[in-house]
This record gives sequence, structure tokens and C-alpha cells, in this order.
Amino acid sequence: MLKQWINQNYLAPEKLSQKFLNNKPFPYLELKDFFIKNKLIQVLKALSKESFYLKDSDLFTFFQTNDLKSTKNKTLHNFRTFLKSKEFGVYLTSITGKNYSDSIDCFGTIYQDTNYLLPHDDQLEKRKLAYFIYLTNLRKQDGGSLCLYKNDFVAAKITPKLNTFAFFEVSKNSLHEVEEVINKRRITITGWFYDQ
Amino acid sequence: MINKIYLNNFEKIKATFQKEGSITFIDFFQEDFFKILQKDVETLNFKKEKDPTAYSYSQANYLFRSKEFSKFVKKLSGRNLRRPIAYLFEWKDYTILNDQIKSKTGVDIVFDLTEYWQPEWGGMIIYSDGEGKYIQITPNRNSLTIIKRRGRKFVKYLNNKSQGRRYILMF
Repeated sequence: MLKQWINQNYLAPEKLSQKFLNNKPFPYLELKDFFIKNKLIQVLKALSKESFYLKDSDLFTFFQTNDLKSTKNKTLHNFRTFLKSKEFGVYLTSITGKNYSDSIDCFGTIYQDTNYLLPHDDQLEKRKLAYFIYLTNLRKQDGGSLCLYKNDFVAAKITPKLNTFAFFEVSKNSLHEVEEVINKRRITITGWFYDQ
Repeated sequence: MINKIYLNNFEKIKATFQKEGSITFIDFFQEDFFKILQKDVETLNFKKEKDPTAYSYSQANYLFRSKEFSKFVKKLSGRNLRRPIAYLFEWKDYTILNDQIKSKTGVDIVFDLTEYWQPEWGGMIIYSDGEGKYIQITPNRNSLTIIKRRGRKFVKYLNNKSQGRRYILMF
């Protein structure tokens, strides 16, 4: 199933492990052109037909779907099934060295102009790996970058690029934010992999 | 210096505050006095304070003494007036609810000097009682809010549409 979804350049995950573990300020990876592009475009098209709901609090403002496990769309259902498959779980394990359960969270999100997510660590029981599948292209000046913090400062930035797959290890150190988006739309599929 | 309407209707105001637990006075000070106060606060030497997981704003000490104002607040809420802290919020500033710090019960006294504002820009002070009830103080020039604290509060992130600066005094 990996070959059906992932760009063949990424089929040897062992090579990525060192990079993931050594990245600063905490283990993360940014993999560009990760999925087979045509399939991801289909996912984006399908996602645009889902309902998005406003999420608004002291910490954030953005729009999000329900977990895509409840989707009636076949393309989205298949994509989610791939993400939570044993094969993809093993693939991630060979990069991160951690085992994952077969349940995941998986949402579509849209950040419109002025939407943001302030710094926080994501720690919640059993969340192990946070992931982001970017479905739009933004430039640095458009905001929407994922900022990874070391103490009080941004130590790494991931700027959204269509078909980038990014993920980081959730821990008490994994302080991160999504910069405010300015005059653009930032669309992702995002969620967490869990401890067994 | 306090708007006469409020001095002349004090008993009614007090009853409302006791019933509702919060009250906001629009055009609280007389205009001439407000203009002086506003200029004073805007020219303070603000210092940036930031802890990414908790707050981002600028802050300055301010000396404000007025027997009339102290008396008004004391009679209404029972609280003694403290020396105020002036806060400046601009684009990208915020405070968040903090699970670790539960503010003690008491009375907050917030005076707003923000000249022109749209709610879509953020910057509202939002009180949450933790059970889904919210009270919101929207930026408004020359307005005073006196509120019995229930639960915790935060200042909503000021986004890129916000123009100008948001000034408040917290007594």
C-alpha cells in the first residue's frame, strides 16, 4: 500500500531516522513532495466539500472538520485508512523508533486571514506524534508557518508547501505554534498518532 | 471629573452592579479630563513583556490619584483603589487562560483608553467562568468596567487587521 500513496523517493525510511532524531529544537521532519501528487490533489478536492467548523478560544481561531473517520467521501476515507494502516505505522516507527497504536486523529483544517494557533506543547495523554499534511502553498510573508520553539524562541520554521508531510515528537519540550495567516488560506490534514 | 450622569444616578448603578456582578460606564470621565489622561498614558514608557505560553503585551507604571474616583469605586464595589498598571496591546499581543493560576475572587477595575476599534481585530478581555459562560469587555474609549471576577480571563489575540494601539489601565 505504501507504493500506492508515497513518492518512491521516500520508500526507504531508515535513511530518514537520523535526520528526525537529530533535528533541533526537538525531533521533527519536513518531507517535501511526500505523497503521489495526483492522489493528494484528489484528497484536497474531496476535502473542500467537507464541512468546516469555527474553533475559537484564547489559544486559537481556525476552522476544522470533524474527524475524517466520519466522512462519507471515499477518497478521504481511503486516505485516512492508509494513514492509520499498520504498514504506514511501521514506516513511521522505522523513522522515529516509537510504536504507534492503530487509532489516529485526522482532521481537515483551514486557517483563513487572521487565523492562528498560539504556542503550546500538544501534550495530552498518549499523543506521541503530531503530523501535518500541507495542501496549499504559502510564502514566508503569508504567515501560517509551523514554528518550533526552544525555550522562548523560534528555533525552526516549516512553511506550508503543497504535498509536504511534516511531523514531530510530542513531549513536554514540543512547544510550537502556527503563525497568523495573512490574506491567504492555509489548508492541511492534521492530527496525532498515539501510544500503544 | 466623573461624568455627572453617573454621580447623579449612583443608587441605581449600585443596585445594577450588585444584581449583575459587572457594570460598564461609557464616557466615564468628562471629555476634557479623559483627553489629558489619554495623552498621559499614550506617552508612557512601555516595556515589552513576553512569555510565549502565557502572554505578550507592553506594560508601564502609572501614577493616578483621585479622591473622587477612589470614593466612587469604593462605594460601588467595596474595593480600595490600587496604583494602576497601564497595558498596551498591539498586533500579535495576547494573554491566555492559564490552568495553573486560578485568579482569586475579587473585583477587577478596568479603564479603557482605546480610541477606535472593531471587534474583529481581537483585543477583547474575556472572562470565562469555566462552565461555558463568558463576559466580554470590548475596546471602547473612556469606558470603565467594574466586574466581580468569576473564573479566569484572557485578552484575545490582536490580529493583522488591528489598526492602532489598545490601551487599558488596570487598578
